[in-house]
Amino acid sequence: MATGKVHNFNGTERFRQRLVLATLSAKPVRFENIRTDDADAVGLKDYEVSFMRLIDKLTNGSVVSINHTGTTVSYRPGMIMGGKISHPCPPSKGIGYFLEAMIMLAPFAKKPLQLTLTGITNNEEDPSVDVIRTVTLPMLHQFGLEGDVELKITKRGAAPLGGGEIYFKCPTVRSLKPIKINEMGRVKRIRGISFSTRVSPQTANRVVDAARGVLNKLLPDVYIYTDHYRGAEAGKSPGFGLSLVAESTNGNLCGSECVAAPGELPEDLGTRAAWLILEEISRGGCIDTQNQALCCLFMACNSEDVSKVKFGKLSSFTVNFLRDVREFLGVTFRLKPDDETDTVNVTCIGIGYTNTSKKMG
Amino acid sequence: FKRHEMANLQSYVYGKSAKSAQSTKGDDMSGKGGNNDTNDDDDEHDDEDSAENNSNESNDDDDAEDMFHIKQANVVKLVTDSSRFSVKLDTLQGKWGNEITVEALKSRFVTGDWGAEDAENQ
Repeated sequence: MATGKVHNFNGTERFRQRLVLATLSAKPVRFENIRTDDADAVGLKDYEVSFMRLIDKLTNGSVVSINHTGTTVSYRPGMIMGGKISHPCPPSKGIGYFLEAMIMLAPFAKKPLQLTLTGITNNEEDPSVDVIRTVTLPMLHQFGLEGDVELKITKRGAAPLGGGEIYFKCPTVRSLKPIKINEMGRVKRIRGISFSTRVSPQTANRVVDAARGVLNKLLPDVYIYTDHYRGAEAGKSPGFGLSLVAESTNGNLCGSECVAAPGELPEDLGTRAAWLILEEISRGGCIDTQNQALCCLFMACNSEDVSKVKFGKLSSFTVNFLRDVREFLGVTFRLKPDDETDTVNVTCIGIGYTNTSKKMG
Repeated sequence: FKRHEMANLQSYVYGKSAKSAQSTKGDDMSGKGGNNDTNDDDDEHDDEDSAENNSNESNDDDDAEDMFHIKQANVVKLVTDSSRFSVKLDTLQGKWGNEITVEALKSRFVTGDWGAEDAENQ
């Protein structure tokens, strides 16, 4: 169990990232004054409590204490165990909120993680399970994570009621490999998934037609699958959305995703998603904006060698995450903007993080 | 990034102390906490500073992020706890609804006929 210096924070800003980093670095944390100025919702939100429960399930020996009003939380991390875990995610957050954090921790667990999450698979706030499956998971292989990394969407659950279910399987790794990705390459193909639940099956086709209308002006190789769910697999709410993945000649992937807002037409959604992938491509990073933070974490945790990656513009999320990485892991990244391409070369030396709990095969 | 911004990106992200940081390498963690100090009371002073910094962080960030084009006016401000990338519809429409902008992006794509890439590989 962690016994070092307690990191104190005011409020729950970056709550999830800080808990993940606390777990990895085995440093205790305390969050104080949580929403004390919000008379209607003092203390922790339901999704934050749920996330702490999930962390508790994943680890062994963790100590969580929450005061009566929920305005102060202390967390003393234990060992990351992994294994078979099921967890219901509250409808206030998407599954991606929980899954993203689990991806950060799972490789360092004692046993391979077999995680079943239920809730909202696609919403407008959190990373969707589709982009995690098609963009995030392939990135893990580049860090030397071998074996079956699997994400299966067994039921689709649109906001607000959810009802979706996913199964995530992740092997463990003793140590990660450094990476060097400096060239995005040119986009050679775009793939996508247009899903629909509890609406007309034709909706997904209309989304695809609209997106192709934009993308085919730039690239002939565009293929978007339609994925219509019905019955028990369709979750509790109607909805539709589109996720797109662009693959470059160097094998780099970048993704975008959109979920229909209330009253939004399928054509508008398809066009919006297509524009969003163009925006992401125009940023020129070898790792897409959504995965910058995860990439930084694995760069910081890998073997004591230099990792170098070219990002597009850094997101606020990434900037804050870099600060937290320095606070918990002691890694300072070198950030060198490239004024010609409007990109940032991000370099660091890993701390040589070793998964000591992994059994030798 | 403009030139004066480039020089300051490191400082912006990590603060002024980043300039004096000699190494990009962190503490040797080996899966365990690097600090064996069990006396939390001694750390209170540092922690207070840290908490204060955190509470002031958001206001400082707003200006700084604008300066570095990180928090752009066109980027949808999502909850701070999400990595999701999104851009407001109006901005997307203004930029990518314009044929000239789309045309300018062509250099980022492999162009040609269907299957031309496969033929090249063969």
